[in-house]
Amino acid sequence: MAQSFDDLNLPNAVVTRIAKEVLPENVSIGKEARTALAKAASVFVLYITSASNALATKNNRKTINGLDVIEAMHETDFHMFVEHLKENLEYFKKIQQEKKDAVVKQKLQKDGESNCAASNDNADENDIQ
Amino acid sequence: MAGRKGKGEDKTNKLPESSGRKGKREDKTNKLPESRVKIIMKSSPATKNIGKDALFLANIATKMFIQHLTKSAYSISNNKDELNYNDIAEIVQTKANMSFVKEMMPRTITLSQYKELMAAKGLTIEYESSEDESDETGSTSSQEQSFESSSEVY
Repeated sequence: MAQSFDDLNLPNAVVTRIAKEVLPENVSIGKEARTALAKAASVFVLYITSASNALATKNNRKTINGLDVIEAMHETDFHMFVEHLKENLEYFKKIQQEKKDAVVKQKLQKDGESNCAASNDNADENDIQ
Repeated sequence: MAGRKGKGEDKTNKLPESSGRKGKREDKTNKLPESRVKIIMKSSPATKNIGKDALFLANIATKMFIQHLTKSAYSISNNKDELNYNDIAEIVQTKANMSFVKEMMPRTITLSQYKELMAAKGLTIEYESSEDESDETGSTSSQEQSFESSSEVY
């Protein structure tokens, strides 16, 4: 089973850096340990995808959404992740909304500018007084 | 420190800090490549479409998983200077929620232990090895070999 993950592995370097975040600074991670972590993480992705898929199907949806992933944490016995994931989902929605707002705002500005250009010609004549 | 920043995207937006995780501050720049995570998700049979929020959360959940496994393994480790494969394997073999990776992460045993196990089952092992038979008596730290996933060993 491990052999089939050649290109489906998450990069060792990133996985190691992530792991080191929760270890004291002087602690190193053995070579075999790094590989094991990366492989386990890849399998975890598949595992939660499978669980999320099942949940989406159960709700007659064709797209996995954030709530499916969160619910999958309960299903897979990783309850301790739920709180943090919920926070991040809120954060994500907020960011998406801000992006949308920014696009709308930009558009309005552009429209406003082109209007201004037209009325500026008139305004200059007045200002010179 | 200098080596860590500046690599990859620098997300300056503040992500919510990990709740309940003591220890270091979460480094926002250590992110798993979303494209790779997506490829793995899509390789799953019967995968449907993946919403952006789902991909985002899967990424974070995986990061949490890595850290959870790392911390657990380190807490039971006898060697506080280095995190070993065996520490990780021990967690994987004993925790219920880790059963999905159990098969691919067996505990490693020494050559002598393996021989004993085989002998107990009435089997002798044939193997090509340049190592002396005398390693059965001496210290085995340099003689340790890992035997992966042969289920009959267990």
